[in-house]
Amino acid sequence: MVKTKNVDCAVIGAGAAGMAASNVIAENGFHVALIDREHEPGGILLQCIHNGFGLHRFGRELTGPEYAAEFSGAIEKLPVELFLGTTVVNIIPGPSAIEVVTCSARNGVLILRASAVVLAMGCRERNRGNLAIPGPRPAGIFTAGLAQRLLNMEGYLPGKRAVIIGSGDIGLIMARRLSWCGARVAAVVELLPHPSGLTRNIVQCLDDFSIPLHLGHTVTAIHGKDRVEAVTVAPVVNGVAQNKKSRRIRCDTLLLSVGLVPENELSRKAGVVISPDTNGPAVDHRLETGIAGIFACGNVLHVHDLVDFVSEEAEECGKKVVEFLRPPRKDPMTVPVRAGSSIKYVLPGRCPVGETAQFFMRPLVQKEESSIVITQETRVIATRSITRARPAEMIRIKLDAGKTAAIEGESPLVVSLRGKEEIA
Amino acid sequence: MKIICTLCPNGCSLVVKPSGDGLTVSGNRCPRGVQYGRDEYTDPRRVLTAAVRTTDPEIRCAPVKSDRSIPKAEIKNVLKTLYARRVPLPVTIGNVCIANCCPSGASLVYTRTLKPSGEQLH
Repeated sequence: MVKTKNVDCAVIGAGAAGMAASNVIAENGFHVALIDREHEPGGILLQCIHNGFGLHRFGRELTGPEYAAEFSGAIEKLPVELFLGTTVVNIIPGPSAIEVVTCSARNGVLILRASAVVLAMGCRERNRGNLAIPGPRPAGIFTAGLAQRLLNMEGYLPGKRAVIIGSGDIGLIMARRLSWCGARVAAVVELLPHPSGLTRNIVQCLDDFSIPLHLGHTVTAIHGKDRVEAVTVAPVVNGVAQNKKSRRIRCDTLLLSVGLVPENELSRKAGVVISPDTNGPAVDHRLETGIAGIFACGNVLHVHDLVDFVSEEAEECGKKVVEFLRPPRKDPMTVPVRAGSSIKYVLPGRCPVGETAQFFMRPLVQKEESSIVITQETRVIATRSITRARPAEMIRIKLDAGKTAAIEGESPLVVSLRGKEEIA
Repeated sequence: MKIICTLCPNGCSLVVKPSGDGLTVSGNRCPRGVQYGRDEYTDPRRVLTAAVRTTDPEIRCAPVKSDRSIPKAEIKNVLKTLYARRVPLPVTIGNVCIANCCPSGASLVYTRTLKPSGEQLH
């Protein structure tokens, strides 16, 4: 007989999103099961020992573990039951409860029967298979996050001479970590013509250590049989690697910092529809998926740049879960929200009428002195000027109830990024 | 000397030149860039974050940071001192790991509370 336990809400993943959502739900008196496969709450923040977290939320720079402690400290005082060292293997929506099938050394298989479920599993790193780099498969190839864990938590130096693919912030931070640990970073290779990470990180993580950054380049081959010995790097013109201009860079380690994708295995098993725009669960204005009672927030929903926004989104999600657990909940009219010109996606995909609403969006292009314009048919519902729009920087827009009250009928809101001349 | 300002995402390219007794800064789009350029030219400082080895068999590292920014030139020696250390658990967030670790007077403090591996929550 499999053990079962009833809870009000099961939160899957005790990282930044899971902790923030769980705290809000528990503060409202509900019994929360917070589940994580690690032995301590905190998630990926615990391996991000560098600083720069929390400027928006706390007005000061914290390291990852310090940011996590701001949330995990509250857990003990709340009706949150931690299930650590525990893996969720399935989510089965049913008529009376959602069954969350867990598995751990401590409890064996334990089924949590929950009224609501929050998906907060975060994201995973794209790897060599996603890049399709040909060649042998020697040891020494790591995703940047894995190398970060080995170095910062397990105490192993992954190699002595590294090349890093991708100039996103994780790759840059790792370049500095490796340098401070006595390894040499031979090069950072970036496919795009501009760096993907923050200027601050280019200066403090590359320039400080005289690490060359090769923009508009890619790795075309990995050499070495048992261990990486070198990589071939070539410039890219119009998407084609220029093999005649390639050169070999000696290294024993290759780190991949080439993007993150939401972790969808469990969501798919539960039958949650995945949005092709965000690659995470499709959600409505309450951050609720198509399955009643299953919500999503944080990097599992869409990959954020700042943990501060993850916490905020998760707290908003927590409030919506509380409304769900304490019926009757308000049921405003909603209209669909679509991405217009120069916008990759807008989240959530519906806007309530006559209530405050918050949207996260990612620009497709780089634009200066631009504006976000939200229209319904030919009417402008709201505009917000954006000094610098960058694909790497998520934009957040809040609409007050007065603005959304101006929505008429059922036609969709379209969110666009417009340059100066296009606004009038 | 060319310096990229890191105070905001604009990332202005500053040019800092000695002039008479002081320094002139150009290329800045806002007044804050002037001070940044001067500081970075005369005394560049960084907050150091790192991990120190523990004596625990399972939890092998404890994260630390400098309690203030320290001159770039002092970082190498601080790391050398830190990497020679082995600390026993438990450690507590905010407590000092190495006091007065460099000539500028900064200390390294723990950024996470860690109990010995036998006393984990579960």
